Amino acid sequence: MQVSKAKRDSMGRDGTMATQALVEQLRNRIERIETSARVDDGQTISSGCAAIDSLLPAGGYRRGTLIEWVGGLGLQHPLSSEACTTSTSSGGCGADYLSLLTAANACADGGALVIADRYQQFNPPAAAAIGIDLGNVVVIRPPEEKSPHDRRYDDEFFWAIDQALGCSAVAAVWGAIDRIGERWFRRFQLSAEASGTMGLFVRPALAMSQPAWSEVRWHVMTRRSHVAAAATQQLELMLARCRGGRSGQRVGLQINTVTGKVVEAYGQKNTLPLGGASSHLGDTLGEGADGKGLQFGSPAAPSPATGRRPSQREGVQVRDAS
Amino acid sequence: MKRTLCLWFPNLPIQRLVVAEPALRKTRLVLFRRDSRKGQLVTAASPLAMQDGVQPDMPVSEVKQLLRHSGRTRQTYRPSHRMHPRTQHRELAKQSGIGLRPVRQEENNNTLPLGESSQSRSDMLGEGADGKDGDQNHFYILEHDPVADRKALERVVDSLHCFSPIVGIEQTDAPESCFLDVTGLDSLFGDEQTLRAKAIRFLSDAGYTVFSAFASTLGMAWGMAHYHRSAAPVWNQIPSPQPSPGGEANARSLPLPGERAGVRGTAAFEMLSDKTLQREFRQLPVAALRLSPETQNIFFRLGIERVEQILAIPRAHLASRFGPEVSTRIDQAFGKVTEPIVARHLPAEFEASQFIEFPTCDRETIGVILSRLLEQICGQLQSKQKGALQWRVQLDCVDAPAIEFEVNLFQPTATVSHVLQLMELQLESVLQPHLRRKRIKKSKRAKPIRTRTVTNILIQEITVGVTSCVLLVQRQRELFDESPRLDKRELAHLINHLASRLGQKSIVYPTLQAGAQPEFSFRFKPLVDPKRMRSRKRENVKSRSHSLARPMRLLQDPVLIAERDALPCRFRHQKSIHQVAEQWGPERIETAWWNGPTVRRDYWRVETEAGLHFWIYRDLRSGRWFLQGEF
Repeated sequence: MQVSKAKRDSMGRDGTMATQALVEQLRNRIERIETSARVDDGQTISSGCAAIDSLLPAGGYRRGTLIEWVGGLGLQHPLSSEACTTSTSSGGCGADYLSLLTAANACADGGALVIADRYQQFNPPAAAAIGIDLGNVVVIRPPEEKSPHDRRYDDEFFWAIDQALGCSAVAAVWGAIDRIGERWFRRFQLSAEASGTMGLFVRPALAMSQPAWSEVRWHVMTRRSHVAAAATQQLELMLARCRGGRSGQRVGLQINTVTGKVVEAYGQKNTLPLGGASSHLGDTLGEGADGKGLQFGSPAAPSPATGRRPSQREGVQVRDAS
Repeated sequence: MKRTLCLWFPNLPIQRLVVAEPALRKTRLVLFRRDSRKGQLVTAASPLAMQDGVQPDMPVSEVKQLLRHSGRTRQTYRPSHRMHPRTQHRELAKQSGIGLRPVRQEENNNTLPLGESSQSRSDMLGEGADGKDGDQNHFYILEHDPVADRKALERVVDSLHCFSPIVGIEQTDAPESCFLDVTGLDSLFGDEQTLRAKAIRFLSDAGYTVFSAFASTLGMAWGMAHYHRSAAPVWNQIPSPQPSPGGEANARSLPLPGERAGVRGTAAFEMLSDKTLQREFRQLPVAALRLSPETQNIFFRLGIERVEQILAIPRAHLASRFGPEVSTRIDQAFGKVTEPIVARHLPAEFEASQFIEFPTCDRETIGVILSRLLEQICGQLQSKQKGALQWRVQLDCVDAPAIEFEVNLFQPTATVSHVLQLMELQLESVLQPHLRRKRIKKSKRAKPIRTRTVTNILIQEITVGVTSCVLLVQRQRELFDESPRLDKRELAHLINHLASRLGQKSIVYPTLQAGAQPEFSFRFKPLVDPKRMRSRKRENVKSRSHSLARPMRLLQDPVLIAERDALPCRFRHQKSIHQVAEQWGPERIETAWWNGPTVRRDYWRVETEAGLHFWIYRDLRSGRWFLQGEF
């Protein structure tokens, strides 16, 4: 009824405008039907970087959704053998950093953060440095007598995550999950929607071939930094899956390991020294141009902090690789 | 008037070992402690060893020498242990666990073949039990374990709750006595002496020999139990189903440790009136006042031996010379200063129990009774606005040890459904070994209509108690603008739930610790822990290192990647080879010397050809390279 009314009203003025408005309206309605179970206060959670937020349809993550970061070995060489894409390790690619940054933002209003630390690798000092309040952190670790690599522990571990996702006092659940059954994933989604808790999962390359119930899935691809003097970590994020957004969008990022800021790598192009870096950046840009939906909403202004070279006083001695 | 019964377990360390390992009864048993200056010194010795001249505080080397020539110095002291533990008590004693180390098994001036000296402990004990002659020549030197002693005493004292609701252990470093508040209890047992005889009988069934005395104050009861002749156990008064292995004649002429006070045991418990008691107490040695060894020593040098001699000294002189200690002890003994019994378990404030007239084995019935008891307690809790943190459930069984378990909560609660859920989870796991399914038939012909879960044991009484409770803080919720994420009760629910299924140690919270070594810069502590402080305060641990330089994932065990000194240009990690492209560092850490062996490491952040960042270090002592973190 509403639609037809809106149709009649708009038809009178402008045809194209009307179609656009109608499409927009219909999209909203579909979204509302799809996510009727979700506890949504309309609030979005920033990813900690403006460039990433701009790729997301709502300008950030929504509460009550699952977000995946797929990274690690295997994603670096997309054309390489299958052995690489079955890698079960997601460490070292920077996905942990990005996901915990999101977790810190999600917990800003006082909710608890549950860390599902199956392999007992969670490092609290690093999490505290990102801005996570350790007073609000609950860590789930497997009992000592059980091996975390034992598949029989799966059910208990996933049950715990599911319980945490279903608790409205928890702002986010973070976990590194390698293999997970489809059913469990679906249960996670339902629990998260019902309670408004975010599920943040870092997953290895083998997850690419598995079905997912997540709202957003990023592929985290690492790049060589080529900046020997500054300890920075270069990555490229690809939006592999996003409800209501365009998948396939890419953004190049740079994590400054001294200030902890995440900025878009292209915004820094001018400040980078010439040499190997420029050719590399050119390559990356070229790749981006090939991809169909290369759209950067509003490229982040280069942060003054990242413009300067990291100082040596922080205990990180910088070594010149001349 | 208040009445207190003091029970003294003479030579408790030895008694405990003998109860746990009856084969040790007729052996020479010496317990030693380690002294930083004097080496190994004797703490306690079994009566047989004492006969051979072993004394407390004697160096162990001397004991060895002495025991090699055993039998030369014979004293009149004889073992006073009566052993016929029931099966139930023996099990109890076995839990106290001892480690036996046969030092040397030697006959007089005979050297043993090598094979025999290296016999295992069980062999030696077995042989000791079989051959009585060989038994006499064994001796054991064991390390004294005061913690196990204390635990054993606590366990025994806890079992004495069937005689008195208030039972406490004496407040010293090495307790050997306990106190029972028996005010008004004599009528339950007939009279005081029957109560005492029953308690002594109960303990002797468990394998312990105790000295006992009644008095109106703790101090006097203690002194009388330790030093008065009436305190000694009287064997022929205790009817015993099994006569002691030593025989009646031996037991009657039993000389007692009380001899050190110069008294000998008599044939029956003496009923002492209060006046006689005070008079007798004055005759006891100075040590009966529970004085410290130093003070006792001073009195000894002054020639003051008995309590009455101290009482004759003016108080002012005592105070100026010995401080408050002597005066306090005298006042405590004569009831001028009240001294409470430090009770082991106070009767729970909130407790409910249900006695089942016809003992049941039905699982469902147990659940129903449990929920009914919980409702009862929660009603009481709510009316007092309190919430329980720790629950204790006890299922008393017929012909089997009671089943006990505790339910610990993260946040206090007085909600039946919540607690019942957690209790059922625990009950399930506790009863698991006893459960089986049983088909219930209506008549012989009919098919089984349903199956029921029953336990193998019959349960007679169910007790639910609150062992720790706090005042509930009710926070008024705002009608609007209340974020559900601030609802701490929800979180507490979650934590309780997770902890009851995964175990308390699995649900933890991180705390930061000062220290350079990355793996020790934090610690995880369980969230559900009754001893935990209620609030998680923010810690400000200052770290000198730049914490952003720390990796997100810290491997529990660093992975060895290279043996050489130079920075590795490639390494293997998780089944793939990584080529090092860039490196930043080093960041050197050194641990403090007071934390044990110094750890010195150079940390580097490396980037591989694929762009992955890892955290590796070189151990400066061994020169080897390890991978410890992933960014």
